[in-house]
Amino acid sequence: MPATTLLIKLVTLAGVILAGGFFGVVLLKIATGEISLAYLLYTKDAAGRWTYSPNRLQLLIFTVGVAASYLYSVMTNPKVDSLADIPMSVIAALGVSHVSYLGGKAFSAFIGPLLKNLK
Amino acid sequence: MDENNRKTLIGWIISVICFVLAVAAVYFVYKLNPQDKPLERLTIVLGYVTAILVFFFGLIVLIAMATNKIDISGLLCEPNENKASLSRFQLLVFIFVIAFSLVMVIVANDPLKFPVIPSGVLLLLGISASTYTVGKGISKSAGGPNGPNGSDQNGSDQDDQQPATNQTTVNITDPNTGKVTTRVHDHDTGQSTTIVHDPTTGETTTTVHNPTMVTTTTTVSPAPPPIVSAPAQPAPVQPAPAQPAPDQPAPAQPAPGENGHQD
Repeated sequence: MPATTLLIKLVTLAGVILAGGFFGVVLLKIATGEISLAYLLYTKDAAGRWTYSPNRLQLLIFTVGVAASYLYSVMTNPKVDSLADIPMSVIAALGVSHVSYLGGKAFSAFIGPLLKNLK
Repeated sequence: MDENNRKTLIGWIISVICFVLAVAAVYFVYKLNPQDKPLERLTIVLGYVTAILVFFFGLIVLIAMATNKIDISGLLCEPNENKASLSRFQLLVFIFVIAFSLVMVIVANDPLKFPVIPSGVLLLLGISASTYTVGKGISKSAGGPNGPNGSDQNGSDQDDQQPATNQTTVNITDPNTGKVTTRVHDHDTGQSTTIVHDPTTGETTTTVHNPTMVTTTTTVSPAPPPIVSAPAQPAPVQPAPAQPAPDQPAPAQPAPGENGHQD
C-alpha cells in the first residue's frame, strides 16, 4: 500500500522535526542564557547566605553520567525492539543520590533553622 | 501592518496550507490505491489528516517558543525566583534523553514500530519525577509565615534573599487629566502590570497581563467626591501649575513622553 508507506514516512519525518525542534529550542535558549542556570549548585544556609552545595554537585554528576551512558548505549545499538534497559545497580545508585539531595534540602529547610535558633 | 493583522494573516496562511495538504492527501490516497475499499481509504485519509493537524499544532507551538510568544525563560526556575532548580534540571535531562532515544530507536528500525519500554527506564523517570515533586513540596512547606508563596526564611530553594527581580517600572502622569499610569514589566516572568490611578475619582484600575491571560481589577479608594459643581470650578485652576514651574516642574508633571526607569 503506497499511501500507507508514504504516511508512515511522513509521520516519522514530522516526529523527528518536532522532537528535534523542541530539543533545539530549549538547548539553544540554555546556551544563550535565556533559560537561566544561575545558582544551580547553590543553596541557602541557615544564616541566609548563598553557599555552594556538594549535594547538588553529586546529583548533577550522577544525572549527567547516567544520561550520557544511556544515550551512548542507545546510539551504539539503535536497531532493537526495545529501549536499552538500565541495570538495577545504576538505578539504586541514582536513587541514593536523589535521596541524599532531598535529605540535604530538607535539612537546610527545616533542621538548619532549628539548630540556629537553639544556638 | 499591525500586530493583529499579521497574526490573522499567519493564521489564515497556516489554515490554507493545512487544507491544501489535506486535499492533496485525499487525492493521493485515491490515486495510489484505486483498488482499496472505501473504508480502508477513509482510514488512510484520517491518518493523513490527523498527522497534518498534529504536525502543524506542534509547529505553531515550536515557532511560538522560538519567537518568545510562549515564554520558557522560567523553565528551570521555581515561580517568583531567579534561581535555577536542580530538580527541574535533572527531570529535563532525563526526559530529553529518553525521548531522544525513543525517536532514534523508532526511526532506526525497519519496519517502524514502537519499542518496548523496559521497567528500568520507567523506574528512572519515576525517581526523577518524584525528586522534583518532593523537592517542590519541601520548598513549599518551608515557605515560612507568609504561606506557601511567601518568602522562605528557612534556607531552602524559596528564598527572600534571591537576586533582585529584573523589573522595569515606568510612571507617566497625564498633565491634562492628572491620571497617573504606572507600568511594571517583569522580564523574568513576562508579566506586565498596568496601574491607572485617577485622583479626581479615586478610581484605581489594575490590569495584570500575563503571557497567557489578562486580569483587570478596578477599585475606588477613597470614595469619589460628590459631583456637584466640580466640572465648572476646576477649569480656571488649570493654569496654576505653570506658576511654580521654576521650582519643581519636572517631578510634578512630566511630559507625556517622559518616564522614569528603575530596576
